[in-house]
Amino acid sequence: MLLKLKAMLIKELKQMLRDPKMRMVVLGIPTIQMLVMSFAMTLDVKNINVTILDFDKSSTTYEIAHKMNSSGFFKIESYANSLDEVRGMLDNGEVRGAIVFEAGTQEKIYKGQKADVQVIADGTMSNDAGIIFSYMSSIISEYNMQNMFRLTGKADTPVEFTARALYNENLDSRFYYVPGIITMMILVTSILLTSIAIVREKEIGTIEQVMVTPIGKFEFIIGKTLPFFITGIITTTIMLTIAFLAFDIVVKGSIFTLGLVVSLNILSYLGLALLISSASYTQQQALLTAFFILMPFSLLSGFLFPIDNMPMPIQYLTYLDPMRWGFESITGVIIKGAGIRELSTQIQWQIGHAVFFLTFASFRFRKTME
Amino acid sequence: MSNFNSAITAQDITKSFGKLKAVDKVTLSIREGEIFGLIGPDGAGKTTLMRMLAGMLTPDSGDASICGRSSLKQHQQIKDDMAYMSQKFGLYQDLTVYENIRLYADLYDVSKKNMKEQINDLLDFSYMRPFRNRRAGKLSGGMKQKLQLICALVHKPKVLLLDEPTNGVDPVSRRDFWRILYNLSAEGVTILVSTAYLDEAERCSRIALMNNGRIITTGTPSSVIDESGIKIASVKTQDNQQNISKIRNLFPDSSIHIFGEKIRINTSDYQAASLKLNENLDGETEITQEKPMLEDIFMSLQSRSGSSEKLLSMVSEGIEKREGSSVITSSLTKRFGDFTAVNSIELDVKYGEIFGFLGPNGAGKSTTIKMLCGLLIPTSGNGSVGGFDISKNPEKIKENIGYMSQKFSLYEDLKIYENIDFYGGIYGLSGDKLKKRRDWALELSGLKERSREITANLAGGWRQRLALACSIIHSPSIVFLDEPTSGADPASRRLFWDIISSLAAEGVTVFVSTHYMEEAEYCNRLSMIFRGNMIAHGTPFELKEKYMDDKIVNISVEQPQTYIEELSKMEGMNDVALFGAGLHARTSDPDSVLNKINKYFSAKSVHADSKLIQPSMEDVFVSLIDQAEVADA
Repeated sequence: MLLKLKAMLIKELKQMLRDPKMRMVVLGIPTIQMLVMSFAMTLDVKNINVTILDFDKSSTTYEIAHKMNSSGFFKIESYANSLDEVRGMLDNGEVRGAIVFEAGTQEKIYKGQKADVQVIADGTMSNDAGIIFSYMSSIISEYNMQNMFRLTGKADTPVEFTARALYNENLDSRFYYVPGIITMMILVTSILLTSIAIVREKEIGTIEQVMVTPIGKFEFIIGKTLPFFITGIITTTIMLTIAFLAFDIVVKGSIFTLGLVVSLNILSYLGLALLISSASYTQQQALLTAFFILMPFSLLSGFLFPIDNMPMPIQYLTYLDPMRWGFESITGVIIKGAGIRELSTQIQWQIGHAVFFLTFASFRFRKTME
Repeated sequence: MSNFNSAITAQDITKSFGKLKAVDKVTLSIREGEIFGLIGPDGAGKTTLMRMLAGMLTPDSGDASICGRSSLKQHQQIKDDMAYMSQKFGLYQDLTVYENIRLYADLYDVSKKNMKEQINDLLDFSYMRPFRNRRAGKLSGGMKQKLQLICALVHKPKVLLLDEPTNGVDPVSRRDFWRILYNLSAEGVTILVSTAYLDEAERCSRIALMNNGRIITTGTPSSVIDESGIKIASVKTQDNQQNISKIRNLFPDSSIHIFGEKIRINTSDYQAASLKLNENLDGETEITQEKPMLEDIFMSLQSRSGSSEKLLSMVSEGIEKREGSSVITSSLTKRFGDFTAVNSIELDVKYGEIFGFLGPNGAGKSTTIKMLCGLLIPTSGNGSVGGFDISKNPEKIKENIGYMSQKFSLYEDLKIYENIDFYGGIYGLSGDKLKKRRDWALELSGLKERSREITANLAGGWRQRLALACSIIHSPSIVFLDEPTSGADPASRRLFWDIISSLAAEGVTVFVSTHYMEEAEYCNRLSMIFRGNMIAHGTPFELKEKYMDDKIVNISVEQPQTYIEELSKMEGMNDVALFGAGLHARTSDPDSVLNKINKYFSAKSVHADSKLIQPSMEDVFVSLIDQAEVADA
């Protein structure tokens, strides 16, 4: 039993690591992609280009505009002279927002009357527009707060809002995205590489020769899976090292727990990929199937869109998505320092997925040719 | 032929790949309308030469031309005059026959006006009209090759370069393919064809023999044979298996093999050889001199490694000797949906027997072998291999058999010794035992010095030897070989059969399928299979005697193809077909037909030599298939 498995393992590892292209795919691409994507993928809105249309041209409007500019969220690109000009700049995408101060703003404020400031935002990127509005309103209310006494003579504000974010004090999105991308890379590499593992031999024709030997079904399946499991763990380790070196992300929880959840995650992907591989006739078929699976897996994982916002039926559907549990448990360990007890639901689901897919794959694989 | 034009020329053309000189200063001149055959062992440089002629590969030095235009400088222009058909399947499997041709017509800018008629003409000409709307992927091997040829012909090229076009095609389809080539040649098309089938080489107007990148000799097939100076001594003994090793010791440098009921010895001095044989062989022997065949010339190209005797003696090392029946089946049937691939096959094969499975592509040979190996579960019927039931105990069977599939079974990206270790490992060998068998496998495949090379570097014949060594690394007593010699050159094929004979001599059952009819002569017993049915079985001798009611008249004549049509209209004539360089006429009334044939040729004042002969295995095969087709219709 062990002899045959050993022969199979040696062969698989040699085949995988001998080909320079394969080495690049297995080890190089995940690390490069992780580096690039971690920098690129961020929802923090910074340096939004805005234009100011100031009909008042007073020291107050100047002060507010200056406050915006120095917040770091906005960058005043230009000063417009008319609404038409603002419209033009929004149309051609030069700016994504505009602030309009009506004439007499300063006078109204000094008189204690209410002055209106108009914020115009490009609504095509709905998310950005929302952020622009909320940033603006917080800047304005901060201004109000600071100048309350000077302007109205009243010293106290009725309610003051103070916020503190747990786990990620500075609300720095990399603490969310970097581990997220790591889980996504684990998904992509495990599924894509393994899905062609068996079907490749079918296409070349070598499988016929192997199936006529006394090698057992499980030896064959394990021989096909284990190399990808090993490389999966290695790439994950490399990615975590980069996360530490380039993004200052330290694993808060125990390395053992992290190892456990990553392994379970990889195993469930490998089982699924083997299932695809043994059901396909050509590498093309297998890869296409894998691609179709990758998309819903990552979209429904909760990484890109919060699961709580999804309609109930789809929320139940996400239970079947191994990446959901992988994402929750891996980010949980890295960022929150969660342990096995906190992650028991996720771990149970992952064990379920891994067992189900692997058993199903070995059940589906037959040593005959039909 | 004083003012002939050269359609294809090559001048000192050379190409190296790294250290290897693939083509070494080759000079050629092929006349318009000629069918020129390029023959030589695997890796001789035939494909490289053709690709350079076609302008697909730039030579290191020298030049070539097609219809007076340089392949080197005008390779874009020569494409209008030329068509090249590679060994690889270049058709779109999902398109129909018509759509494939149409695609090539569009690619070559064939004018739309006559395209439809032209394509229909080609379809008629190749008898492919009924399959017009069939998808290319669903065609049989022979029809695929024909379709590929039609696609190459659609722009009416003047020169055709065909690289082993009939590789893996059964004799019936090959005859048909050559009929087309002859017709094209008659229309003035120049054809350069490389082939591993030497009976095809004999049909060419001239041939060139290539080895190690050089052309060794050029001429008509008969002049090449005459000039070689090779003589063949043919010996009939009472026990050929036993005597062959004796003869091999007597003539250590000659190529010796069993052919039919005789042992053939390649020698330069027949008198001396026959004397030596008379002195040393006991019992009743009958020594005759035979005319050498192209295959004998071919064999003399490659000096046999001196250790072949040793090689053959070690083939069966470690095999457990068994007796009785090894493979038994009763009404073994396999259906795929509505299609019956194998219909009620009955077999009883003994240990120590070479059992041949003959049939055209798609007849059900591979399906039967796969069922016997436990790769396919039979739809109905029973069978046992090595005492284990094929439906209930396929995994047990797998421990006791060796199987070499038709498909490539080695990992190209592994080194040679790694392939051996892998197969050894999954058969459960380890440590010293594995080491011993590894050395054995390297010796058997002749790759001892190259064991650390990547398998992808091996040429055809070597790969097949390595694949065979890997498939019998665990010393099985039953071996299934599915077309093991397909595409290999004649020398590798012969060595392969020597190995098979040695295995059988030690009590191993060798179950082998082939579509080379002459290889059937090496088998102890044969089964012919057609459309899933067993249509004949017996020893090679029985097949020729029992199943052939018709007699065969062999006609040696120049330009045989020109007479086929008229001869087949003769009364009492059942079939006329190309055979080697001449014709074989099949008839139930030999005397009167022979008479008529002689009259026919003397009326035309053409010199022809006709005589009644014993049918060859190919004649038997074709006639049986004809009968089966008539019965089906």
